Amino acid sequence: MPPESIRRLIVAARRRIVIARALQWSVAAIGMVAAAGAFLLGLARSQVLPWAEGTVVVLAVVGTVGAVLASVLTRPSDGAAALAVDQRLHGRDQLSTTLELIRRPARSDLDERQIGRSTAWAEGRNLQGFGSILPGKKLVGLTLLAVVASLLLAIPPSPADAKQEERDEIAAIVDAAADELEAVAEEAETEDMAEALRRAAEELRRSESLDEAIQRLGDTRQELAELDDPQALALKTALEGLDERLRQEPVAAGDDALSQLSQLRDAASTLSAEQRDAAAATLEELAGQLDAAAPDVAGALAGAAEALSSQGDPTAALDRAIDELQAAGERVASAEDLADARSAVRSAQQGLGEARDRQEASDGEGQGQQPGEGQGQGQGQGQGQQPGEGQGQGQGQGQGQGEGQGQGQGEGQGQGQGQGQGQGGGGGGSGTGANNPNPVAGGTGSGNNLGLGPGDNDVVRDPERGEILDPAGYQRGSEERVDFSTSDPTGEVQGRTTGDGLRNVPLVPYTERIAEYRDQALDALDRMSVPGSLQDIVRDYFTELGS
Amino acid sequence: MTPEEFATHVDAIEREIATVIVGQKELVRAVLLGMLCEGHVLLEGVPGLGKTLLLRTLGEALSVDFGRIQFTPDLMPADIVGTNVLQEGAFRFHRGPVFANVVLADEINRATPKTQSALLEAMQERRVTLGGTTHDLPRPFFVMATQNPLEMEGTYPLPEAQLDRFLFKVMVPFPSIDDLVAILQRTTSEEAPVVAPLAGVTALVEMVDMVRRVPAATHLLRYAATLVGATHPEGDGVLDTVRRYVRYGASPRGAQAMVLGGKALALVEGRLNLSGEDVRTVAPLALRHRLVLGYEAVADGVGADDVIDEILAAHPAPRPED
Repeated sequence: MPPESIRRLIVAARRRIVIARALQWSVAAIGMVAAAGAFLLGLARSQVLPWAEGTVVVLAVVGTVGAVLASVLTRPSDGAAALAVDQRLHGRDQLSTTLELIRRPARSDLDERQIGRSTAWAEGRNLQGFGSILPGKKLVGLTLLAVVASLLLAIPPSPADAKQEERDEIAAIVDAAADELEAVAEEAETEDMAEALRRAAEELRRSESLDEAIQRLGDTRQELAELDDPQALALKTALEGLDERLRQEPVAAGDDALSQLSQLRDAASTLSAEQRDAAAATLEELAGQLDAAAPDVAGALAGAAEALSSQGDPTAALDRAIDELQAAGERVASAEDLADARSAVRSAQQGLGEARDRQEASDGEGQGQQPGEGQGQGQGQGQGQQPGEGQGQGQGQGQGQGEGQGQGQGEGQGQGQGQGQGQGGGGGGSGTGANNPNPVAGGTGSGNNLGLGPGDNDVVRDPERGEILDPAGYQRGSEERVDFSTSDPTGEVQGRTTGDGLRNVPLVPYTERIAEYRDQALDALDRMSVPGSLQDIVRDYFTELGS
Repeated sequence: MTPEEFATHVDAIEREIATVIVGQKELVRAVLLGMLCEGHVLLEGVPGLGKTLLLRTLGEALSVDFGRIQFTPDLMPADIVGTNVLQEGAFRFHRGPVFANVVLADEINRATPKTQSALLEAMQERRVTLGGTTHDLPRPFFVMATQNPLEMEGTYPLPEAQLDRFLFKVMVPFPSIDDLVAILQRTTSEEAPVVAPLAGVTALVEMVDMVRRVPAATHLLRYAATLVGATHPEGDGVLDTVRRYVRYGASPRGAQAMVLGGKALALVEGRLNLSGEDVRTVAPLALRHRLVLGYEAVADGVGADDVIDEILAAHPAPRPED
C-alpha cells in the first residue's frame, strides 16, 4: 500500500486522465462523425438520402457514448497514473519507481530512502501543472469546423429536401387514400366489396409512384364498377316513392312503408272490412306503381292486397311483403355502399392526380426558372354563342431552359369584353419553348388559342347571366295569386297572376358556386343519383364548366 | 556513504578536475560516469585535446593507482600484463602497467591485435593469467583507452567484439575559443595547477557499489531494452534509417551500459532512482560504438550518433500509455 500522499496523487491523476480522455475522445468522435456527416449531407443535397441526417445524429450519439465508455474501460492503472504524474509534474520517474519498490518483498536501504524521498515529494503536491482536461485547441477547432460544415449542409433546404418532402407528401397522400379505402372496407355490407377495397388499399401502399397509385386506383374503380347494380337507382327511387306515398296515405301507423306494413300485419285481425279494403286498395295501387322498378316488392304487395281484400289472414302475405321490402332495402344499401366505395376511390384518385399535377408543375417551374431562352405566346379569342355577346382574348407566355431541350409552361391571362349580354372569354395560352444553346438567339415559342373563359361577368350589364340560383338562400317569393274568371263567353277559364314568383329567387354570381356544383355533381355520379346513361354527359358538362 | 555524500564527492571531483581541464564538462562527466559504473571508457578525439591529461588528472583526483601504456605497433602483451622473470633461480612475476586502478591505454589502435587482445582480456576478466597462474587485478579497475580517428595508416582498428567491452565511447570535442584561451593561460604560465586527492580507493569502491543499488523501475529497464532492440535492422517495426544503415545492432551490454550509466547519473544529480531521461542521456555513450554501420552509411555520411538520435526521437521516454 503506497503512502497516503502518493496514493492521493495517483487517484486524482487517474480520475483526471479518465475525464480528459472522455472529453478528448468525445470531441474527436464528434469531429469524425461531423466530418463524415458533412460528406454524407453534402451528398444528400444532390441525392435523396432520407436516412442521412438521422444516421449522422445516431452516429454522433453512439460515438460520444462509445468514447466515454472507452475512456472508462481503458482507465489507466496505478502504475500508468504514477508515470503520468512523474512526467507531467517532472517527478523523474520517482513515483512510478516507488510504486514498484513498495510491491517488492525485500528492499535495500537505498530503496527505503527512495520511498521516503518520493513520499516527501508528493506531500502537499497537487495536480496543478498536470495539464488541462480540456481537449487541445486544434482538435476542438477541427471538430467545430466539421460541425459547422455539417450544420450548413443540413439546415438550408436543398433540392433533395424538396424532393424528399414531395415524396413524403405523396406517401402521405397515398397512405391517406389507403386508410380511407380501408375505413370504407370496414363498413362495407358485402364481403366481396370489402375484400376488393382492402386489396386496393394494400396495393396502393405498395405503389412506388403516383402514376402507379393512380393506375391501381383506376383498376379498383373498374373492379367496383363491375359490382354495380344498374337497377339499384330505380329501386331506390321506387322505395322512396313508396315511403312518401304511404306517409301521405298511410295504411297503418308508422313513418315508412316497412313500419306501416309491420303495424298492419300486427293489427290485421282488428281491422274492419272497410279498413282492410282501403288498405288493400292502397297496396294494390302501390304494387302497380312498383311493378317496373321493383317487381318482387310489387308482387308481394299485390299478394298482401289480395289477402286483405279476401278477408282472410293476411299475416303470411304481409310477412312476405315485409321480407321483400327489407331485401330491397338491403339491396339499395349495398348499392349505396358501393357508391361510397367508388366515391372514396374517386376522391383518392383525384387527390393523387392533383398531387401529380403539382409535382409536374413544380418540375416545369424548376426547369423554367432560368433566364428565358424560349418563349411562347398564345392568343385566344372567344366568340359568344348568342348574338352580340362579345369577344374574349387570351395571352400566354412561357419561358423555359433546360439541358439540351427546354420546356416551358405558360401562364395565361384572359380578358373578356362583353356587350350587352355577352359571354366572352380568353383562355391563357400555353407556351412551349425550345432551348437554344446560343443565349442571344433565344428560343421559339408557340401558343394555342383557347377562346374559353368566363368573361368579365359584368352583372351590371348582364345581371341574370352572371348569377345563379343560390339554394342556401332560397326562400319563397311573394305570394302568387291566380284569379279565375268564368265570365268569358267562350267558356274558357281566364286567370291573372300577381306577385313576384321566381323573380324573387336569390341569385349569386355563379362563379362562387360553380366549383361546389361541380363537386356535388361528380359526387352524385358516384352515388348513382344520376342514371348511368347520363353520367358521362353530366361529368363532361361540369368539368368543362369548371375549367 | 550516503547518496548525498556520493553527490558531494562527485561534485568535488568534477570541480577539482576543472582546475586542470578547461571546459569539457560533458566529457569529464561521461568519463566519471563510466568509472562510477566500474566500466571501461574509450575516448576518441584528435591529438592534443587533453585526453591523457584528463585521465591522469582523474587518477590524481581519485587518489588511485594510475598506469599509462602508450600503444605502439611493437608493443607486446607482456609489456601490458607483465612477465615472469628468472630471478635467483626462480621465475618471479613482474607486474605490468595493467595492474593499476586506472589504466590509460593511449592510442590503443596502434598496437597489434594480439597486444590489444591481452588488454581486452584483462578488461573483461579483471584478472591476468600468465604461466598457469592467475593474478587478480586491483579493484576498482578501469581502462581508459584513447584512439585517434585521423591517422588510419599503421593502425589496427578494434574489432567490434572488443569495442563491446567498453562501457562508453566518449567523443572528445574541440574546445571553444574561450576554453582555448583559458587553456593557453594555464599551460603557458609558470605555475602548473596541482590536483588535490579527494576520494581514495575505498570511497571509490563504495560509490561503485552504491550505483548498482539504485532502484530502477521495470518500465525503465524495458525502455532500455527497447532502445537496444531498435538498433537491430532485422527487428519488427524498426526505423528505415536503421534498416538501411545499420548492419548489426547493439548487444545486451548496450542495455546494461544504459541502465548502469543512468543509475550513476541519477546519483550524481542527487536522485535516488533511475529515470527515463537518465537512460536517454547516456544512450549515445552506451550505443555509438556498438552499432556496426554498413557501406551506405559511410557513403551517405551517416554516423552512429545520427542513427541513435533518430532512434531516441522515435522512442520517447516511457509514457503512461506504454
